[in-house]
Amino acid sequence: MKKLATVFVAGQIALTSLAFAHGPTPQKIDETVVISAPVDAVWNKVSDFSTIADWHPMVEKVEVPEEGTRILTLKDKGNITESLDDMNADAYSMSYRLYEEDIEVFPVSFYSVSIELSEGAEGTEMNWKGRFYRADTGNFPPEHYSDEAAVAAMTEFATTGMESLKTQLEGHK
Amino acid sequence: MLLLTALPLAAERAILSHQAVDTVSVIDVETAKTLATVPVAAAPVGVAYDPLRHRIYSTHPEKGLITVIDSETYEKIGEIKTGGQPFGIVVDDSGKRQVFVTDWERDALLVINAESMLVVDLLAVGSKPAGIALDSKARRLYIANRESDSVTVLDADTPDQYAEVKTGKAPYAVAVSEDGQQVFVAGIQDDTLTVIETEEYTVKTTLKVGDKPYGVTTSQDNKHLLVANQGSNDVWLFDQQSLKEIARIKVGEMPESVSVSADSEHAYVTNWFSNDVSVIDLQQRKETSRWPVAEAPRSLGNFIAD
Repeated sequence: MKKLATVFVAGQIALTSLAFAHGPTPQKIDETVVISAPVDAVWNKVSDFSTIADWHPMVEKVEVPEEGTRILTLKDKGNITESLDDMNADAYSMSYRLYEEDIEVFPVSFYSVSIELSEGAEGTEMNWKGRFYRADTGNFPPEHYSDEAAVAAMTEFATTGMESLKTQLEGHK
Repeated sequence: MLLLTALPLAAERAILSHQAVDTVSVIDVETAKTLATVPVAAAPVGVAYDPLRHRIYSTHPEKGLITVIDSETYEKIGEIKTGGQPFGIVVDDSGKRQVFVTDWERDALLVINAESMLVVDLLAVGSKPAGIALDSKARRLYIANRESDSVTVLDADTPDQYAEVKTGKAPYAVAVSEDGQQVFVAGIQDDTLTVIETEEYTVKTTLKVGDKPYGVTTSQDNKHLLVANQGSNDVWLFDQQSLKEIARIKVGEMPESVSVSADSEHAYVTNWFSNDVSVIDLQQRKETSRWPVAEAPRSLGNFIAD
């Protein structure tokens, strides 16, 4: 793992040509899991943008069409594409966003996520924050495209991933 | 209201829209005490203070309405049914009975008669209009069109459009300087601040700002320009005349809106993610306090009232 200071990714320029269905009301999640492993061990896993399938059980595979972009194939669902915004190894933090949505695969029309690690008394605290919009940004969304559905999907993805990483790194059977 | 003249000048107030808990709270900026918490319709976004009628307005894009609150008793007076998705809001403080509101869904500017509380005009603007600024002396409105990467310049009294100026990507917030000479528009997808001069409405320069600039404002003394960056959790302070960067000031998480006190001494920032308000001393150029507030403060617009 290269110890880079701050990497800004050029993908952001291309990204703006896509029309996102931003709605008027963003939602948020803020989830933390404590992992009994050194912060660098957790960071090595998390910061490799192309290998999330190795530790996230909902991700079947990852393709990297270009540096800083990843296509996630979600198990039994399909593809969504994410783009890296920032990677700061010194601060153990990274952020990325949804680049190409598919609300049939993941019921969120846009999200940005930041993951930050810190050293706590019990181990490494892994914090996963998300800001996002529901799938149907109109005023009368069906239930499966509502704010609640979006919050549930974002929360499940964050906690499932972190719990699985915890299990892997703590060496549970 | 004029009876108040015998009393010492009241402190300014911060008007906060709390998107996640459907309230508008009012905070005394001197004491940081919450003066009122007003239950409103779902997911308020924009706020405006109406000094002429002693009201507070909040916009509710999810509900297609605007809440009207008495700014002295903090009672809810009523709701203005606009339809669409009312978003940014500004009050015409010249004395004309006008409140201007952007309509995110209908790509329009709504003109509301503040006395009858009815929508009296609907003017086409760019796609997904968000922030709005009014130069009430020059009678110009500036509207940031988030999906068309532009600012629409409209007359505040007639349905005339003077210009549509190209900006950075996804402009959200817009501010006009007190002297009316410059308009500042923050592009949240390319991290730029477009500076427009108001003689010919041309782009004077484009400044690089922090990550995802969601808030922009100016100080009334025409000295400072402030940009709140949601991705980098900071406020960048610029000299409004030279446009040189003066400082980068850390604030709470995912700051959304920034406003400056009338005396140009302090700036206030709503931190949407961390549920607090940062207070910045503009002389010291640093954050001097942070007030915990209710969930998800947004306050698009100028949210500091007298």
